Amino acid sequence: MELSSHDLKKLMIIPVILLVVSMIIVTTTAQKNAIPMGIDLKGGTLITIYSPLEKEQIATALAPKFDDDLSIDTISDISGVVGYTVQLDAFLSVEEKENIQNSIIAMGVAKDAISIRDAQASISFKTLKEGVKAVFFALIFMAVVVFIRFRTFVPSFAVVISAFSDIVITLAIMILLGIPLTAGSLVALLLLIGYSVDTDILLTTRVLVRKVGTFEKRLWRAMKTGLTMAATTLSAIGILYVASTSVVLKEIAIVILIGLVVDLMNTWIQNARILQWHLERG
Amino acid sequence: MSDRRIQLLIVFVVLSIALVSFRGISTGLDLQGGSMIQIQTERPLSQEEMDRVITIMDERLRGGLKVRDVKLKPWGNEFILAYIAGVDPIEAGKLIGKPGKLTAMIGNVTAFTGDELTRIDPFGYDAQRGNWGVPFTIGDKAAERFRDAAIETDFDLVYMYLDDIEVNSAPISFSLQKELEAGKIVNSMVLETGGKDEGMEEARRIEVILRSGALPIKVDMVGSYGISAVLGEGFSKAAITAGFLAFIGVAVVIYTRYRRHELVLSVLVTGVSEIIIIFGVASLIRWDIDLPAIAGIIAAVGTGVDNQIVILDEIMMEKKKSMRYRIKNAFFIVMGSWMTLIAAMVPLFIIGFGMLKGFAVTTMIGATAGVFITRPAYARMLQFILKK
Repeated sequence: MELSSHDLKKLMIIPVILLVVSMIIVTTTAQKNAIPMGIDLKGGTLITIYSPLEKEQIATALAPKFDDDLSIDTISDISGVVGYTVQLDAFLSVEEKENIQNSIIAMGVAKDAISIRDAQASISFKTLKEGVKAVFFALIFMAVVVFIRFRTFVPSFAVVISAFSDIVITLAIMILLGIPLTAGSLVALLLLIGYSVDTDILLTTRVLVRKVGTFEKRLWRAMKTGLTMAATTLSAIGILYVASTSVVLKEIAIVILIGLVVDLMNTWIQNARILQWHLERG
Repeated sequence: MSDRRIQLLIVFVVLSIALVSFRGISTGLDLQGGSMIQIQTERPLSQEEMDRVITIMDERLRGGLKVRDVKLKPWGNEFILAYIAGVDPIEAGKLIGKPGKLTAMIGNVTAFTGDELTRIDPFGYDAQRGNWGVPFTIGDKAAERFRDAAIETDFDLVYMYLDDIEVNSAPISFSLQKELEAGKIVNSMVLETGGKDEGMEEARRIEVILRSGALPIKVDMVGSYGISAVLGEGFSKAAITAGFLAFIGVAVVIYTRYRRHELVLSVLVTGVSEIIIIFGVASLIRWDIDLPAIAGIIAAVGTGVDNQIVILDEIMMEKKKSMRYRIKNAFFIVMGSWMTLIAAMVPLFIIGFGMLKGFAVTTMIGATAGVFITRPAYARMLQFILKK
């Protein structure tokens, strides 16, 4: 290796900058109330049509009813496009919903192939509040477990910061890519906490608890295990994302995919270099 | 195969298979087809009011939609979640929107309607007559009509309809017949439902039905989610295919890294056992498997595979140390990972978070089974494989 261990420590600047930038993105977008959210968290109506129609067909049939205030996305699996989602900001009455359902049936879609999900602002706000609460408490509980497990401040703190950073950077990437936050993706963030801590515990145990070989050697061995773990999880979740037709499963899968990649950086650069600094400090 | 940990694994897997095949697994509405409806009450309710609203709505939904599989759960103190199998939310929404229409008919003559009930008393037991019953009072005009209808039909049965569906029929008692024949107007009556426990159950139901004409608190449908049986089946199939392909993906990665068939096989066997045990426990506690629950199973098995890689690497990398020491090291990491996963899932489980509780439940079952049953057995399997 040409680079010295000391030079590698400087790599830490990358995750730190990313975290700061992400925090700015997340907080400013949140202040502007502009975080893209699914209807379950901000209210509205989501119509899912499982039918190989043309997108244009749906747009021409439904857009005039809502003054073009709707967004249409495709759902695909391995075989290609299997359907569409139509999202409206409006919460419709039962009669209006029936009306829409009938106009979709009139396009030649079976009634069984249409799924409508809607939520009014009151309940979606409660869902959002509870989701944020769940993520917040999960972080706290996780921190408590980590501190009990390691009993030293710096390594525990590094694990907690890494999980926090995973969530914030993933959220920022979701905002930039326009991936909406939904109840499903909030659950995925919870899972990400668990996953993030897994790799951090592996790293911390390998480089801190066992003191055989140089730091870089121990780090490399831990990384080999960690990268295998990431590879299996990425392939499994990637396949889930591609092969499933359910919007809920896709929502969960995409967030885990982004989070896993972010976690690679946070664990093997940020957390690793914090531990290096901690060990050198004595 | 004489090892205790492997025996334990086999016992749990066999028990789970037995449970699933005899008790079965119930699937959630997003896999079987139905509606999930979120209802908001006009103000926060006390526990008692909430119970009452739920019983009344339960009766109305069952009666009005002609389905038996209805589940209502409170969410906080002003929301109710309704799960209705086999009905789309538009149908259900129409019913929730309007108050129940209660009609009492004698023969085919209308005697009184729900809004003519002036008072309904709690159901009770009449020791003298040995019957359960629900006392109620109707207005003068209704009482007059009741009398005329009774005489006109020569004391035919009294039928009760809720939203035009018959919910009860009862004869007019002799003592009441005498009073009506004498031309009296009788406002207060008791609808008797018989003795024993069935009588009591029926009386409870009748009281709810009588009151259902007017729900004590205004309710609104604030959210809904409907999946048809066809789509649900499609989701299940896609999820099973995805799960199967995910296993192949994992197998390919493990083989690429370790180049040994037995190692791939042991990871797969452990993963599959975990899935079987999760289903076994779900069957035991009668937990509905829905889409979030499936995502939870994938998450549990995913972290399970990760833990297995940790165990495998600990055993393979630290060759100089004793096996006992290596396994102990591996389980320090595995236990830590289990504890944090539980810590992250407990808030979700407690808060409930709408319809996503299933995710927390299956993840926790899977992770716990993994740490105490499948992974110890896996470590043992590895010892056999790596000794060769």
